[in-house]
Amino acid sequence: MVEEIKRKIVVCSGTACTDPGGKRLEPMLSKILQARGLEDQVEIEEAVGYGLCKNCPMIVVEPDEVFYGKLDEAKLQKIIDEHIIGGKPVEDLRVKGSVDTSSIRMLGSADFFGKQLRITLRNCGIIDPESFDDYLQMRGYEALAKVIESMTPEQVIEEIERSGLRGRGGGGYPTGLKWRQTAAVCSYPARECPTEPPEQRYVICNADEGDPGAFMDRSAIEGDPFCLIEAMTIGGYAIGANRGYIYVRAEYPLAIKRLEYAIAGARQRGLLGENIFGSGFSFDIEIRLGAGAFVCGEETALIASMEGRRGMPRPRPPYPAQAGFYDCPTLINNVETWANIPAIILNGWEWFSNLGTEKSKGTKVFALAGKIKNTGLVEVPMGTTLREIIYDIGGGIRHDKQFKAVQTGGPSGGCIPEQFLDTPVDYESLMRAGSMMGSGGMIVMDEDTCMVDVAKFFLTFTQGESCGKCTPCREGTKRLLEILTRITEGNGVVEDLEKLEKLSNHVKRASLCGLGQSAPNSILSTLQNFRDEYIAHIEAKHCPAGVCSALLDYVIDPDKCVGCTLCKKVCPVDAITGEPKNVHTIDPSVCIKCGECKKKCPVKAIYLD
Amino acid sequence: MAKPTAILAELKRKKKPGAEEYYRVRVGLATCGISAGADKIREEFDRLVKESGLKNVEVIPTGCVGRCDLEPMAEVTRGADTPVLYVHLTPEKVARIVREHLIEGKPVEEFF
Repeated sequence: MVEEIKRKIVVCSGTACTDPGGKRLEPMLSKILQARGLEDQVEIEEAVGYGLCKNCPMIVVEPDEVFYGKLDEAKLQKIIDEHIIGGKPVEDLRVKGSVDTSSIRMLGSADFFGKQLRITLRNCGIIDPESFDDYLQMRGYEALAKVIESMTPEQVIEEIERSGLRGRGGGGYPTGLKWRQTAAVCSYPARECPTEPPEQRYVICNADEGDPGAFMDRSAIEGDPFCLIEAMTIGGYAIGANRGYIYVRAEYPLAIKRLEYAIAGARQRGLLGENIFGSGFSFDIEIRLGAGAFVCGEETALIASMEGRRGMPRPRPPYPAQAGFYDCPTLINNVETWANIPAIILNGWEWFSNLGTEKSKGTKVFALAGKIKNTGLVEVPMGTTLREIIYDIGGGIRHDKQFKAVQTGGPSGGCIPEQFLDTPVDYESLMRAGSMMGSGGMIVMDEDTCMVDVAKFFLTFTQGESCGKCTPCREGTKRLLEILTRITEGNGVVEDLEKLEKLSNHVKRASLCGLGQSAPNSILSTLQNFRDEYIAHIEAKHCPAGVCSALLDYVIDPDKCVGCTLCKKVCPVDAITGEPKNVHTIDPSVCIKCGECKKKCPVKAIYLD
Repeated sequence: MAKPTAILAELKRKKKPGAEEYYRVRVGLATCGISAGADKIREEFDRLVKESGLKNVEVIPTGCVGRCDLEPMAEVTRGADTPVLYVHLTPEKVARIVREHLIEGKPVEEFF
């Protein structure tokens, strides 16, 4: 009930606010509240700068988190009458837009933070990840308190459904629907279902982040482990589970340590374990460590691994929502999906569904990597274009080289060429551009990247990570990799391209799980957009980007060589000849192209041709 | 029985926020920061703050703010002052920040 919530008015006391008269807001507020006899019901608090300095003087009404700016006494009266008493925010006085970071002084930061909207990363880099109290101060556990105090499990599920949140692990399945399906299924087979059902359900957080170049989940957990614990507890309440598990890779020791700390802190305060908030609802969380197999990010393989079996997927249905961990209904969501939950509960589904595009709501976190100036973690509203992410937030290509492609979706995704740079980031648009959202890896490639080599890199990865259970994936990825290797070594034939396409489609269609079904995407998308590079490798035996070493020869520039003999000394196969102080030469028939000479040359006389 | 929101309010009250005039030095200590040497930077801050006998400085670890290429970094805040983010930190830079910003109260403009 809106009326029952005790409200708090936070007066911004940032530098800018106090200058033009922010200090004067407090006495004004107290006076107005007293006049209406509300002085005991509304708390006034001061907070340090919100960074929305254009709107000074300003206040924030909690817990609704409504920002009001450019205030005077008349406006304050209106806010108190309509919002505090009437329960309805005064729309025309609200401050629009996200936090203005122009007040943060930082090297080239304005663009980097300006276009971002941080929901799941809201606390990262702000709170101490080893201080539970810090999290509590940032409205931590207010969502859980709200859920337990005033919402039924059905209402929680409805809230998530209406928000339009979709799974952030890559698939984009509607989260609310998943919750409803998990909650609706009885954990016992129909005929064995006892009349008094002690139904067992589970909640799992999939933190098995395995895409090369992706580190969203790691950073999110390391920056704010508490949010995940709170969100999973809300999930447990909503679907009727009393146990949760976080499946996280053992390679993330710091994330694990901080999760353990957050779990212990929550238990100690009665926010996790038996009888949470004294409400009778019990929920506890354990951590399960994964050994780092990529396939264990697939939900059925993850469950197999958690049960102590070999991490291999099984056909679905039944989905984990029907028969998951130990055959009980299990709700599995990705780290980023969970991190959205408390914000949705606190701000309401309307707020969330107003963010993003028609079918993709909210924000998405991307790990920017590759040949980009600003590498790191960004969170943008859905619908932001790839160009905005790469050029405005990412600062463009390193050393101002030419952009070639951006790879999204990790080994499952594809390479998007320049003509699709204005694609808005959402599930459907990325799919149409020949890639996919994936979990959020974004690798930027410049003119020096060989697209055949990129496809080979990802195939090497998926082939190595294929669990071997189904033949199309086990054998198919192996054969695909062989063809790619052949092409990069200069032994490819024109028919190979057709073979690659055909086999790719077979592997996609016939594989058991997402790993195999998506592994050929890197080949198909590069074949579609960069076919000329494949043809150059096959027909001219030439690598246009100068990457595939088998197609290149190391050459010494006679005009630059000073005859220092360093290259000759470092060459492991004695391919270099020449007398001291005279020009040296490399014999291509002996050279194994290790590149050591090029690294050693003090005058940069050695190049690839 | 107390309501959850009341219980939560009680939990929040237990922590006394530090004094307004305190400097807070937040060192980015996620994996990206640590691999760039942020743990050494934190030790250096701790050591210098202790050696200088500064009672109004808290050195706090925090997560990744998103600019992994600028690590190691630290943000210095105090009350309503504009937060200052120092990037690509070295022990030498830390020494100057402690001396000029935390002791003399002047942000090291040179590092912006």
